[in-house]
Amino acid sequence: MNREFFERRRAEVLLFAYSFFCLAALIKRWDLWVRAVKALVFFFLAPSAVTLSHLMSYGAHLAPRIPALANAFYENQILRNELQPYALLQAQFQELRQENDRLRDALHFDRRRFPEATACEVIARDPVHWFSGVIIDRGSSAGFEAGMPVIAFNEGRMSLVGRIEEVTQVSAKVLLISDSLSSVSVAIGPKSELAVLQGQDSDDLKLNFILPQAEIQDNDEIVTAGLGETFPPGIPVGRLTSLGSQTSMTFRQAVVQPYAPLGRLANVWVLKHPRKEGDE
Amino acid sequence: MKRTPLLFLLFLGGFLFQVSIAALNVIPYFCPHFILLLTLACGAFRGSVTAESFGFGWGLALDTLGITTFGIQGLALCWAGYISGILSRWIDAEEAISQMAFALSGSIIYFVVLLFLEKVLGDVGRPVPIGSVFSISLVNTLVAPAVFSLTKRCATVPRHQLRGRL
Repeated sequence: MNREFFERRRAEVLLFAYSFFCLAALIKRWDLWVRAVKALVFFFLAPSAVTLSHLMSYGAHLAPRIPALANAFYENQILRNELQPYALLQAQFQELRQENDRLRDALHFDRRRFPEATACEVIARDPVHWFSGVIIDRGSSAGFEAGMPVIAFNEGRMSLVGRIEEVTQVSAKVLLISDSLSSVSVAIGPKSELAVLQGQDSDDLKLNFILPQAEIQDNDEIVTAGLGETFPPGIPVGRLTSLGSQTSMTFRQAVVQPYAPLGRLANVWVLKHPRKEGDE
Repeated sequence: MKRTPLLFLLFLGGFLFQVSIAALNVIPYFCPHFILLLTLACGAFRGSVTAESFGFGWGLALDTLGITTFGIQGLALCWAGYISGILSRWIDAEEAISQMAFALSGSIIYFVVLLFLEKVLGDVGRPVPIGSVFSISLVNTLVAPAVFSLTKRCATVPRHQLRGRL
């Protein structure tokens, strides 16, 4: 009977129970049991509610920044679109600057001294031995031959780079002075003390066979000595940077910093040998 | 029985959602009372027993974390759930307009009863902005269809099973 009544009137029974509890808690709100129930409910709810509340507060602080972020994104897109023409202009500017450099070098070039010099572009480098050689864009069709000296200009200053080693019809391979197989006879300083400049497969060059009594010092200019037929005399090569102590009974050594940027050559000049009589 | 986990999620999620909305506090006095809406919707789709039980639990939770005297919202929400379950016999809670009317009248009555209980049984002297009763009721009315739709997915039971629960 009671069970059937409860099943039929379950909603009312529960309502009565809940209401009784709430009214009792309201009327006796300072009693220990009410405070204990409240503390129990708080114990279970507080962690999640407080954590969530903190998260939402953090989110609320974050929310105003989202429109700013979206604005920045769209501004970025607009600026990128605006900058596109400038990238093209920048490329054109670089190209024009390089051309200007080439023309400036040509302007400074002493045509009277090297009347048959030819400007070339570096089109490739030795991928393994970076300081060994470069390929230039002209060859035998331009009158190039093996052994012709190659120079470059850096900041308006002429500097020896190497010599032609191999020639095809449309290109030529230049052996740089930084290659360890390269040797150039040079004169050092105002007294033109003789020595041999050798490459060491790096930025710096090694100066060998300096006589012990040679009057040289750091920062002296190194120019080609003109011994032999390959390199004409007086072409600047670099500057003496580190004069070593005497390593053997006979000779001294030094390090030379070349004027030309041998690691990033872009344009060079090939100095053709002056025609000798009977060459025709 | 298959809906028990969903009901549990609804109970927990409803409470946490209300806490989250309150923590945001974007526009004071224009924050919907989701717990009340969920209680009314539970009564409409699930019957008095579930609605009054959920209302009782949610109410005590709100009393514990809120400023109202412990038991007041429990009592008010419990009765809101019971009456909602009884009224569901005559009101078609499937239609949005009915849901909105249900939410509007339920909200106004709920807040009036709450104010009365607070005045009679609660701590005397706490000022209650009367305008907030209407603003919250209005917001409740606007969001009612969404809340009822969510509750319907979680808590609906076949009509023939509702008889014992009303």
